[in-house]
Amino acid sequence: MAEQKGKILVIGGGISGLTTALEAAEVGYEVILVEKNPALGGRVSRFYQYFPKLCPPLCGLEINYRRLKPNSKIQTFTDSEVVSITGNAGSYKATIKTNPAYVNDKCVVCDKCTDVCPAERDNDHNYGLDKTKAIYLPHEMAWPARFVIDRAKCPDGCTKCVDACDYDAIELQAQETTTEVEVASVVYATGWKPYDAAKIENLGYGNVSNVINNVTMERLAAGNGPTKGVMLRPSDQKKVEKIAFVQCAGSRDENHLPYCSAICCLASLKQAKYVREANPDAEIYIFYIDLRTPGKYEDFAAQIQNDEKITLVKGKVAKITEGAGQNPVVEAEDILNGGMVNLEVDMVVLATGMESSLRGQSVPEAVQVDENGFVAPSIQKNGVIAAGTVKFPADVNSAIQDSTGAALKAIQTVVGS
Amino acid sequence: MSDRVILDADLKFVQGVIKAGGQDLKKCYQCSTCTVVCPLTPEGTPFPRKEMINAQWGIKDKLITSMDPWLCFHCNDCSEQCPREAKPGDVMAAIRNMIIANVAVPSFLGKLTQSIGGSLLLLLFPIILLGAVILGINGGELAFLDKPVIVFHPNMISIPVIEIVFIPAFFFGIITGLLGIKRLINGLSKNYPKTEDGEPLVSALIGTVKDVLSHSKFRECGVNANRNVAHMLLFYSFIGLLITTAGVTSIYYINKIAGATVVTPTPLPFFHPIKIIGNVSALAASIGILLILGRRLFSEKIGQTVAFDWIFILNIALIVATGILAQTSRVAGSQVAYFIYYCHLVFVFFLFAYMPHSKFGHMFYRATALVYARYSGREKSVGMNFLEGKQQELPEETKEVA
Repeated sequence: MAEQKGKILVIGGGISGLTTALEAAEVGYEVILVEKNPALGGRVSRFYQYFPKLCPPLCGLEINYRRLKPNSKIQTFTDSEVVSITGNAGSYKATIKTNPAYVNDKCVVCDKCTDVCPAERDNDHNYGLDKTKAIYLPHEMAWPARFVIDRAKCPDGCTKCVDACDYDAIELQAQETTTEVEVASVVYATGWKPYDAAKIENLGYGNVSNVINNVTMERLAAGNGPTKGVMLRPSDQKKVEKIAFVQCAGSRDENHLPYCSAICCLASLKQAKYVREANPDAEIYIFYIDLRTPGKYEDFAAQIQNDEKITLVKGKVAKITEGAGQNPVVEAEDILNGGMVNLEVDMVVLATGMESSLRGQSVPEAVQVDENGFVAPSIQKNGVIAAGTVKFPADVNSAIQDSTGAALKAIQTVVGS
Repeated sequence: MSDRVILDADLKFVQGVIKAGGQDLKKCYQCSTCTVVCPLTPEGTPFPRKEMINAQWGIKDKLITSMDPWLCFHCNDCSEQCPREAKPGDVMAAIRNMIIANVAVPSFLGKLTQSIGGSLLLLLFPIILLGAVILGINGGELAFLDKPVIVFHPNMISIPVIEIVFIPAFFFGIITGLLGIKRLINGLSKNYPKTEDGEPLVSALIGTVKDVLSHSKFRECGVNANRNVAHMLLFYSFIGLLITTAGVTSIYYINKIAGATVVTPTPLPFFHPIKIIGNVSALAASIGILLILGRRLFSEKIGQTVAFDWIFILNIALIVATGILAQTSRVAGSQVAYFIYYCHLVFVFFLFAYMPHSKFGHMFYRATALVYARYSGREKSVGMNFLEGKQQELPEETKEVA
């Protein structure tokens, strides 16, 4: 092994990027980890439970922070984006743009600033279900553990947080910075985003009350979420007793995402399970085209199907309208029984699909994306490696396995150069 | 579910549907978005999702005896929203074409009208027949061609032509149409026994006539909602032209039987009420057919237009065009009028004689199915009430396939 090893640039600080970075760094390779948001953790930090063991992220994700903190081989850039990459495997030049967090490492998360802060912002961690102050901790498990400021929300000339801070941690005048790096290997792990359900006009998302998507559902169930884990619907905070899940909301649809997102069936089954566990009176209806639960998950599906209060209906919901008392009404054909179904429920969960984080975005020169924005290995001309859900729709488990593989590929590139 | 059902799959039928306009049929993955967005389907055993799978599997017997393709007006709300671009609207249209081909009497005519080649062959018949009759009456010499043409020479437009050629052609169309209707009803009655919701026959007939006159079903369409306008123009202009023809014929026979000119002689002057009806109808028909041609050529939402559709559309277009041109050139004194009028007669013959075999057959079969829908109670059949766990007794049809 050469003295001066090339570095590995990992873009994306979610479960995939973290895994790649840690697997490579723990065997001695230098890693630069870049995360767009103020804190690491990505989508997984917003789950209530995830497969295969249905653990909360506190258990599965935090172990990675524990591994990251003492590891001097990883240099982390949060609030940062890689704006350009040029070159080929073994020798890339990349530019990292870092937005100011306005709070430095001296922050001890003491909450004195939030107490005095007069402004509020929508809490994106909870998909806008609640609000935070303009100076806020990104979320409970945020790492780096420090506050950040949404400067766009600050009143003009306000310095209340600066005055309240005993640690000299707030720098309202901080500026954007740019860092040029040279690396041997690039791993793209920018992950996924839920498909924008508002684009599926007939499903009423954004127009009909109490139609939410599946990622928001995770926040409603999470103990550290806006409702403290009590299933209260957004429009009137009424307790939810009857839920309809709408599968393939935008997936397998030539007008939206043409592919199967692979995880939504299991996600809805999982959500049905935890709703039923928390509320023995809850009634669940899952409307599907085909229930896709690959491999060992068939047993999981069978277990859910045995629950008397969970009804699976073959037939896609193609219309959602607002009924009485802010109750959404779903319309489908019950194909196996041959009749139309109009079902009024307390809340509808759209099982929206996984869209590549890069779909419709401009990407650095060295990266090639397919027609759906995925970084497919077969089309990479410059040797860029992809890891996790930026490559294909997948569950956490598969994304982690893929990311471990990506770490090995990155190491091979470093060693080979 | 307990009874075993052996499905009789006819793969040729699948190919037939694909050829007749349903080429995207096999893309369907049975999500039933189409059924939910359909503005016209009844709640119980709704369409077109079940037609899609029946057509994919080639369950011919169910499809050609189903009334549901006739309850579909090709709005294309389904095709617009289909996640697979399988175009259920076009498949339903293709199934209707297949039904016409299957119930038409005699069968070979139903097959020939499906293709351009077959239709040209069928067109040869009136070309030769009319030519021969006109030549025959004139002893092989068309001497009248030299005469001025402000008024057609009686040897060209003479009543024998109508009597010898058109009366049999018209009755051939009507009688074979009735035979086709009988075949259609045989199939429908097997699939749709009369239920409690059914209306008495007279009331079903009156209800259907009202629906058809007002185009009420057609107007429920979402996408392509304005299609009913063109259809309505043609529908009423054809009624107008029927009144004109009947009026002129009656005048002729009244004069003939009376042995003198008791009423205005033909051709009628332009201000005569019957003439006015005729010309207004011709104008409405031209607008209607131009709208249809324009949409079929330039609109994507209208769906697939196959040979079977084009033949009917062109037939109408040519009748309207030659009708108007024949009158104009006659009044202008041009001898071309004779030839144009001859063409006009050929196209009218085609329309009448092959009424139940061409797409014009929808007049018979759709009307029959609409009456039957009311009569059997299909129209009102409701779905299952999911909330109360009640399920209505479903027709045999979907119990087996669904």
